[in-house]
Amino acid sequence: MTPFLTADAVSFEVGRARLLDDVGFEAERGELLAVVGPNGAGKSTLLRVLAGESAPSAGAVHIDGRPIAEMRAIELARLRAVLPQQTPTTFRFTAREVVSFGRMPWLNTPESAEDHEAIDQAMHLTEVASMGSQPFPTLSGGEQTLVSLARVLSQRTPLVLLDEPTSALDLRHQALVMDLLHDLTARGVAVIAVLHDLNLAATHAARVLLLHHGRVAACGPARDVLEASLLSEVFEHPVRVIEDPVEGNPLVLPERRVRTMAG
Amino acid sequence: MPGGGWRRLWQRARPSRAAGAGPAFALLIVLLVVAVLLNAGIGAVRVPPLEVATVLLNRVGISTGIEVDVLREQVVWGIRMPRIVLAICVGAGLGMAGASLQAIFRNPLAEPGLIGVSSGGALGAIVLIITGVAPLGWISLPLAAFAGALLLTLVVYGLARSDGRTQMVTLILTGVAMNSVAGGLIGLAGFLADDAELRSIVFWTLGSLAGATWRAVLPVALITVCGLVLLPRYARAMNLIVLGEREAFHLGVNTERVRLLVIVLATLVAGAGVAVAGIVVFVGLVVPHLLRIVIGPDHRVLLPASALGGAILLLGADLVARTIVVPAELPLGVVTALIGGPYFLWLLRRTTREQGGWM
Repeated sequence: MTPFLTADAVSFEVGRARLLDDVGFEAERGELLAVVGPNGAGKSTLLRVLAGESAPSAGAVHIDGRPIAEMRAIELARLRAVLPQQTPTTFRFTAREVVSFGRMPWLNTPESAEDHEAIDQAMHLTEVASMGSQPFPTLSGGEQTLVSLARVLSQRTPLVLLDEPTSALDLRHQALVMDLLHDLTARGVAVIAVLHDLNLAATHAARVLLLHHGRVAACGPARDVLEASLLSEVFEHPVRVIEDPVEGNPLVLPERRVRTMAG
Repeated sequence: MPGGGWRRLWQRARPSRAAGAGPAFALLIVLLVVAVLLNAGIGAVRVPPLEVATVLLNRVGISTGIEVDVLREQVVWGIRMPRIVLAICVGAGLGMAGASLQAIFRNPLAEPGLIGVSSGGALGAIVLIITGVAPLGWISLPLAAFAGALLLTLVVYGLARSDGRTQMVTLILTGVAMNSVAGGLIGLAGFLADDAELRSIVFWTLGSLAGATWRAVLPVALITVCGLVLLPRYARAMNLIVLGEREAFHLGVNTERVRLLVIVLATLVAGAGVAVAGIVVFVGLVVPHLLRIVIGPDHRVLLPASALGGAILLLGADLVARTIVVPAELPLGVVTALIGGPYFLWLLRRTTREQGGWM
């Protein structure tokens, strides 16, 4: 059986810069794949290509066996939902209106019967039900992320792409979001998340894709990818990897630099 | 069915905020009717509202049995009503076009004038005035204006595209540049023109409804109605584009296609008005802003409301324009600019103070 999502030799160039170089990997339904790497490694670019926003210069992405280059926007919207880093609107839609936009791809389909239930459930899961009538632009950055995540959940697609879903969130809400992503995988959804925090990736992701200068440096189970010498090289900073004494997963600790400033 | 069930059904049938829009729509319609009665009744010959209503009802085939003076009937139906219909078309077109363009550009400064509709229309008309050709008789002038509006908008759109994409900032800046070129050409035409031509040029650049006859109004009305019916089909897509261009694509909107269609439709409705009334500033900019504060940003409600609001504003402005310096008439564009500018400033300050931000 072919995997749910495949990226074959995907390259992406802007002018002379090659932001993605021969990137290939697969993702299955029911699996959380974390995309990690240093700033400028091409994580967000990869997510744009997977979402169908940017056509790759070379290579192809298939979802459910079909090339996404041949899909219409509305077909894609019924297959995958995307959480961008931030939603820039200044128009005063209420939080609930923003969440309800997640149901737009299902307009005039039998699935639209689920609209209200999907919206209510998504807002409940992300704990934003009480903000329903507040204007979206007046919410804090973290609250906006949660409302946008509710919009993504209400879309009810078999593939979910997230760009740093936890970066604006406090500790409790980071845990909430990662638990939600686990719930999605348990229901057979394929989840691909760009994560800045290596330890979140180590704790929650079944597999980790490590990008370095637009190339795949490693891809596999967290234990294999999050390895001290590789990470030290990719991030250009010495790290230690220890084992979480309770869960047993790897934990990544950056070493303190030698105090060159003091002499 | 228990009460809760009915309420659920009711909520299901209506979008959350549209419920609050009901009274706003009722008010807008009442204001429109009042504005029509005032515009039809006030002038050199005064006609009381009841008689105006009688004339209108007679015309649509409802007999009221009330006798109306022939002269007054002629004034109301022959002179004032074409002008009123034109005001409604121009105002509704500008209002809805403004709301639509603000949505697809995700920019509060967007309005038909910005992407070249107004200056293109004026330029088309002025070329005809200066050269003095009229190959198609009376309709040559509005046709040239309409073509100019469409042409300049498409040039702006075409110049702003690269690699099959349109950067919105590039589009707006291209509009600014082309407007400046068009403004220069209009100035040049004014410099070369004789006195009679200069008066015509002033008419185009300041706007006026004085040229309204049924013959001139009907094509405008036809085009405007088409636009007013078609633009709201993209209201949901506009909502998503306003949320974010990427988000709109993620949610299934073909943003490039919607954008092109909305620009063409907005140019049609706004350009049809420009073709007979010249440049009327500020309506397309102010009306959507004002209504967004009252009824929120949902374009399913905002688009029809902006059409109503634009019609009311233009009727009011025209009433002022033709009654304040009797027996002369102020250019309409002068009135909308003098009312619209300070009002917009007040709106801007109030909104910034109360909401800490725009829109």
